[in-house]
Amino acid sequence: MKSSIYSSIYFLWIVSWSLTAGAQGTSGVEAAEVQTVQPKIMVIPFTKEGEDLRFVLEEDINRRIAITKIKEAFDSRSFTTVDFIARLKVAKDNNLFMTDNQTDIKSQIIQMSGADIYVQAEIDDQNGQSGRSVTVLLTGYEASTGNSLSNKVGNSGTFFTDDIGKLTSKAVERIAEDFLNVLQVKFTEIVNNGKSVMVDVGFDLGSPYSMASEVGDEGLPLSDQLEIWMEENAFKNNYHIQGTTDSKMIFDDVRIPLKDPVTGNNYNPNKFALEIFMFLRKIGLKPSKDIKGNTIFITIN
Amino acid sequence: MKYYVYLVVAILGLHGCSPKMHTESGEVNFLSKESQAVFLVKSMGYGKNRVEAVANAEKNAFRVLLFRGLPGSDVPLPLVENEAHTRSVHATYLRHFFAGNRYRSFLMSSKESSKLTKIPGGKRIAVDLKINHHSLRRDLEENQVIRKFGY
Repeated sequence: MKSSIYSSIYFLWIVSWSLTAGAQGTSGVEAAEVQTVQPKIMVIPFTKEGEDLRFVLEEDINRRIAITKIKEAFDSRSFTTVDFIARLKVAKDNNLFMTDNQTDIKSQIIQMSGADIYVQAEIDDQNGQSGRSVTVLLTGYEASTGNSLSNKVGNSGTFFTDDIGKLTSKAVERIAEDFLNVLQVKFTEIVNNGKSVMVDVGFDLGSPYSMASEVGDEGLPLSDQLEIWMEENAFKNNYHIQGTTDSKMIFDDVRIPLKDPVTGNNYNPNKFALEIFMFLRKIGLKPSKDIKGNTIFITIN
Repeated sequence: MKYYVYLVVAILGLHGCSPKMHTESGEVNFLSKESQAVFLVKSMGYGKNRVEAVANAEKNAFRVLLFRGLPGSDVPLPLVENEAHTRSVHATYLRHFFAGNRYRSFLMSSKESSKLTKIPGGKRIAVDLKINHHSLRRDLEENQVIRKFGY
């Protein structure tokens, strides 16, 4: 009797151990296999009206110092940034700039680099009777939406020196860590509440449909069908409608998860666009899709 | 015998009335930045004796860095995103860190900066600590207590 109790306990222990080990093993494999896609970050200099972004860095060592110091801060957190100077050189060598408009050149470099986030560094040098000081303004933007992610102003303090590079370096050092901390808080917010994408639904010129067209089995207006779908599929039901007209419906902020909740694989705007595409096909429409960064354009033919 | 029992009860009663000392405190102040990775803080510690008060001052400094953040320093926000979650999920790491004195590996120097003062219920001391916060952050990341920079 006693030995059968012992053997039952031993059997149960073996079973529970193997189940626990199995479970740990599975989650370990999943965690190892799926690596979260990290955002691409690029540090660029601020340019004043009329300044040519292409030559500004070559001429100004202090802006190069500021950019390098900020990149150093990212490196210290084991994060690799997209190198602006390298991208600029490639673009110049290949004559990729289609325009001389400074604003367009900046957007072209950002677009060409594939950066999700860009950090703009502005330097202001003040020289007075009490000495010289440098102020550095760091601003982090989300490239697709223009949302501001982190902002810091750092001052070097006033010194009797002509070494602006050293002052710039001092000013950046004072705020770089804090700047990254705020950026990391925003990343956490994105991990928890999803990444923001914009969905623009419109119609082809010859399309017989409008947002008021009654479609699907329930015969609901298309705009309502879209909203019901978005309600069910936006991450944590988080979406915002900018506006609806007869010919357009714009969701200016739809949250999508970073990881597919079912498979655990990385999720992106392209996959979300495919889901919208499949839904529209299901309710009898002929859509086409186009994705630019984090903006999804759906055209109903 | 009866008086002896009364005496014991009275002593126990008085002991129960003695003020309880809270060794956990937020009295940690940023002093200066030594380099990109190291800063100096002043932390107050409470305990029954000098050794315990100094140890509590050191532990308080790390508790503030992990769960509260240190204004004026490079870590103004807590290193840990969610205190309750971390305390339950990473209990082993934290036990090893505080009770196992692992926090001392991130301490570059610990210098008493005030005399040991007698206060109701124990002693108090101020300690100046040099903390390598970069390696602390890295250790937290490697042990998955906090996420690495990025998503």
